[in-house]
Amino acid sequence: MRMSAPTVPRPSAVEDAARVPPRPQAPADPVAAIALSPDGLRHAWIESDAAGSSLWLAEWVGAARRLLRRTDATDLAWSSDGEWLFLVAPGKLMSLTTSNRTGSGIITQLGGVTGRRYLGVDAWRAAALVAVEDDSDGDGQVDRFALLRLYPGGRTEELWAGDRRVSSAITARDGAVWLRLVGQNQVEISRLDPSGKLERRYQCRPLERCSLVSVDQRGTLYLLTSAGANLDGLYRMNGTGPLRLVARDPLATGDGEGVVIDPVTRTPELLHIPYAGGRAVEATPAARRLLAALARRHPDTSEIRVAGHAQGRWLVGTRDGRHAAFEWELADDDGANWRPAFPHRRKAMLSPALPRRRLESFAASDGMRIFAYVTRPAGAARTPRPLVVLVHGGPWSISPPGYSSTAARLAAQGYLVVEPQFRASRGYGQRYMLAAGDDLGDGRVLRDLRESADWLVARGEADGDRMAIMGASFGGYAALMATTLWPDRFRGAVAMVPPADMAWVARYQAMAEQGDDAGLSLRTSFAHLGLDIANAPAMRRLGAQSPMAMANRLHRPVLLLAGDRDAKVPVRSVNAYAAKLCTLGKPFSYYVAPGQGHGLDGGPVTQSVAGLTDRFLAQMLGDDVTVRASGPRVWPGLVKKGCSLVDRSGLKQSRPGRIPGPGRP
Amino acid sequence: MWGLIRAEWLRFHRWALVLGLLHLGWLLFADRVADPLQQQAIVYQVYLGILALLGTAFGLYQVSAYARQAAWIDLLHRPVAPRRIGAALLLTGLALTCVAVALPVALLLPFHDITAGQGVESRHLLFPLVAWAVGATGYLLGVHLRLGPPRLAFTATILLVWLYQAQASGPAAAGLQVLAAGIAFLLALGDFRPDRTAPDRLPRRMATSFVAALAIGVVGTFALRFALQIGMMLVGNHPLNGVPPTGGLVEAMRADGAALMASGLASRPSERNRFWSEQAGLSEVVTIVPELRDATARFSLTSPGDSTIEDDVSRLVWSFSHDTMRYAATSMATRRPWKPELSPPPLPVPPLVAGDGQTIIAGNRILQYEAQSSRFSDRITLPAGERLIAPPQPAWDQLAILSDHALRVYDGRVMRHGDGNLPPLGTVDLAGPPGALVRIDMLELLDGYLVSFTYGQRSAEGRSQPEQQLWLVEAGRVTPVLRRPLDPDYPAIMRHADLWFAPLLTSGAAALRGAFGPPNVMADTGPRAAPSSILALALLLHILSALGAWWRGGRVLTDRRERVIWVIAALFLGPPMLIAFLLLHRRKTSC
Repeated sequence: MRMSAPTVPRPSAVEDAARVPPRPQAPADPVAAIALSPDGLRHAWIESDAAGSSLWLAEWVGAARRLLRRTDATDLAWSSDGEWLFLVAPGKLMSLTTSNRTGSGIITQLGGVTGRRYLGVDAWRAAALVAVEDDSDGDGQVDRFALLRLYPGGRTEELWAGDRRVSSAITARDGAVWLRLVGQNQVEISRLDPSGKLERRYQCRPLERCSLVSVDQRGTLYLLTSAGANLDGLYRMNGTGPLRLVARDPLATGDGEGVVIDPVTRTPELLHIPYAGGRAVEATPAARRLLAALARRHPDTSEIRVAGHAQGRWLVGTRDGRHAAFEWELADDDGANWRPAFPHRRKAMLSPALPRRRLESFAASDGMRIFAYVTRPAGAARTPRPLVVLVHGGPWSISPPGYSSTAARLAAQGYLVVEPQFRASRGYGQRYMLAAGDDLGDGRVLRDLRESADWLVARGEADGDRMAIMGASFGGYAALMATTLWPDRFRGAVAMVPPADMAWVARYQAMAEQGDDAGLSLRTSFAHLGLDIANAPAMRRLGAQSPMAMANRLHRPVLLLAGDRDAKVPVRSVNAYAAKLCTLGKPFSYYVAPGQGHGLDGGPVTQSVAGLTDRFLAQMLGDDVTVRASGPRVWPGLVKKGCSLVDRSGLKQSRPGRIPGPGRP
Repeated sequence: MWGLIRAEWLRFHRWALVLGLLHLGWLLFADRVADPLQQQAIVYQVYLGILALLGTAFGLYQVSAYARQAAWIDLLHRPVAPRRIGAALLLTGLALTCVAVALPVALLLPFHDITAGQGVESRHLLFPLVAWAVGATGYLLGVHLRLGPPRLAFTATILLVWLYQAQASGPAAAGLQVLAAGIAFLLALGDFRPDRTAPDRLPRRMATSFVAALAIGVVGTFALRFALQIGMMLVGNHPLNGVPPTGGLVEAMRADGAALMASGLASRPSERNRFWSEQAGLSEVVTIVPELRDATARFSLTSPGDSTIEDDVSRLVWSFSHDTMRYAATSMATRRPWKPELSPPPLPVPPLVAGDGQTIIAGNRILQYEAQSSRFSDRITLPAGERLIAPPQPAWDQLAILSDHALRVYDGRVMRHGDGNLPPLGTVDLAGPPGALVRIDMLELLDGYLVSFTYGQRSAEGRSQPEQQLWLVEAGRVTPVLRRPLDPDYPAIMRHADLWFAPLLTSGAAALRGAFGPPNVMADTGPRAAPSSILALALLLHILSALGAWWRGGRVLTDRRERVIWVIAALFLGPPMLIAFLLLHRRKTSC
């Protein structure tokens, strides 16, 4: 019997827009946070469902799990003695006993006028560390910074007070405290000895990560930083000596990101390299054994997350890029015995297998190796697919490693999805990140995006006549640019919260924001990254090459989405671009999410944005249809904006907002 | 006389005591559920209105027993001068009013001082006097309504309208209320004469007629406008019914911000205006309405808005003390004073609290109360001499502040950090009189704002010229974009009814409203411009009024000199004086 050739799933565009039911949301990981107790016998986690979030506790022995409480917490951590759980919720820090002790409740309010920020648990005491930024005279200016140690029950101990912001802090066994202090565009690592004397131990370089990791029993400090090298790795510092490398990506490709620490010795055991294929690098023999066992047990894994290692037991999560949820397991030190951490709901948490997402790379036209995630539709045939180029924001950012709900959703609809990690992306070292400089207009970064599409077309995987581009923030900007510059390649663009003029938005952000998390002013950060907003010619060039300035060259339909409380890309800049498209009579559709910020991810907005995007892509890349730009459909959480239809000014007016069917411009 | 007083006291003292006890009980109850000393103006207006009504009813009832002819003769035919008899009755009535009205209020004050955390301020000592004066005015007007000239006595109720509309505050307001009570006393006392139907002497008749003309002028102007509007409704062209006329003030007042901007921009077509118009349609246009029209004043017994802060986090109630000019806290749990670590700052004028319950507006200053720290922080201080006329209005990620001099836009963080390091991002001086301002609409551009000012407040009363102004605020510069005259929507004969019907009397009434009051810049609606046809009509009506007085005087008056006086009065005061004259002087009936 002859089998018929598999049919290429083709995005359907013949559905009437008004009858398109809301598409199901891409699966999400229900486990928001998980932690292993210091004795290795229990693990606690926060799990979300339709009714809200709950805090659960399970023990190594026996499969019983206990619901501790309903909670609005988003993160949790065990105290060093394992007697308490610290829960971080919006606006408050709570403690919860796990052994019937008194003192459970809110330890402190966070944020707002309290100026308090949770930093982490104290590694040697059953307490939490909290940074304080206090406006003692009420004039709105922070005039006092402090570091507090808060115990369950509310007892407070002030460890340090000074004139610089405490970005993070960790404690040592001898009572010393290591501080990451920021101020006046400088970041430094300082040691506060038990007598209260503060001594600077390391001056961080511009753009250097300088994250405090731990202090082991002998007082050795571990940092996650680059120390002048290209990649972030794990370094140690003995006394006042220089930094010495402990571990980094052996393939010299990706930055180190997370570190697993032995709760007893406080020695780093494992370094994650998430952006270069989800590798992990061992720092101890136990970690080596675990990684070897993981390689045998989960050969297809693309993400490893170790939530703890204590008393010879590991709590390990793995994900293979096809599932939204991590699969959490408990393993012994030898990697011989494995058991699921959530046996009660293993099936439920393992969502249906989605198309696999892989990190690949291609050679750009100038020879540079560019990384890209490629998600191929399930049941792939060798027929070229419609291609969606999914561009991440930033530009000094990165697509999430492992699972991507957007890529999974689009691939499930039959699209080939490529997420180019164009130069300027982070996660692949400083040279990669700084390779673009300020060439963010019609230049190298945009060509990386175009070449990622060309690469897949050349391989016969993508249909060169059916390509669209989409993204949020810088990704939206890039989508508009690419569609404007190369209408023969891209049939349309979905631009979410797009800066229509990068130069203007960079200036706006530098003026509006106090500084980044590292304490550097945004202006300084931009300059270090190659975008000097004081460089007038460069900014003029960037402005002249913006979608706003080139709006008259736009010939392809675009879908614009914005949040009216966006502090990064103010909605007025998107409005101005849309108004310009109106006056030029260009085809576009524009939706604004009231009350939404830069994320466009609250309430029903996420689903509406996904539904609109799917419909738009189906119109652009699917069968030839003409679709009304203003359909009767109401998208929850979004307000449709249109050009004025009545020309009161008497000027010549076209009818903007109509999205034509696909075809050559 | 003393016997009459004693008899009258015995006649009503039980009623007064019962009413006084009920009044006191109600006040004590109110004191337990709310703070009767810290209420908004509307609460006191309702309360005093009830007192005035009760007083009027009492006055009507008291003298009704004597008003019949036989009883009147019986009352006045005793060896005491009629005025002394009247004084005896009225003084007794006033004393009874005191028992029923002033005494309960006076007893409330020590009770409140002892039981409530927030003590009694010196301004509150005026409360018994004010309550008594208003109740007494009502009482005396009740007497006058029953005993006064049948067709003119009702016009004396203009005194209560005057009290309601007067701009005076604090001790000045109390003095004004006592003055009104005094006038009412004189009016009522004048009614005690043996023959109430006999004509009075000329000065008293002139005075009575003037008060009547004043009332007719004020009420008549209102009635004329009302009647004209009813006519417009019947014809079907009233601007407030259905779709308002295009290009008019009502359309501008009702339009949403974007449509108003677009209408203004469409009046002067250009590529730039077309772009802005599209941008307005796509953007959130912020609208600011100058709703704080009445200023607060120290020692004022009322407040135009809420000034109390309820802190549910710390369980505190903050009330503003006019004595110390600071906020003071009371614990919700114990009702006892609560002492903050940091004393609240002194304020230049009594404050108002915005709708969020945390933003405090005090003249030219904006403060913020933080519930978690129970602390007051200065956020914005405008230049001296300015006053906020609208609550702070969030505008995108900024904050719009409207004073009687200018519109300023601040970075939204100013409410967290203060204006020390965050000066205004843009300032637009008001190009028109602040009292004429109806609304402001703001469109956020990439690097600035487009601001629309709509003027025309009280244009239906002929007070201002409706107009829309658009200004561009960009790079620290403010440049005019366009001015668009708006149609006032109502015909000139309605808008300027006061001008042709009773110009001097309505001007006098306006002056009386403002008497003893602080200057209010929001009363300034700009110079008045009336068409010449209205002035001609006014002249014609005044001449006709004089001729009417001359013609009518020939029939009802015998003294030629008096006739001339009435003609002159009608010539200057117009139709209201003629009407008062006609009401006062009936045609002589032949026997």
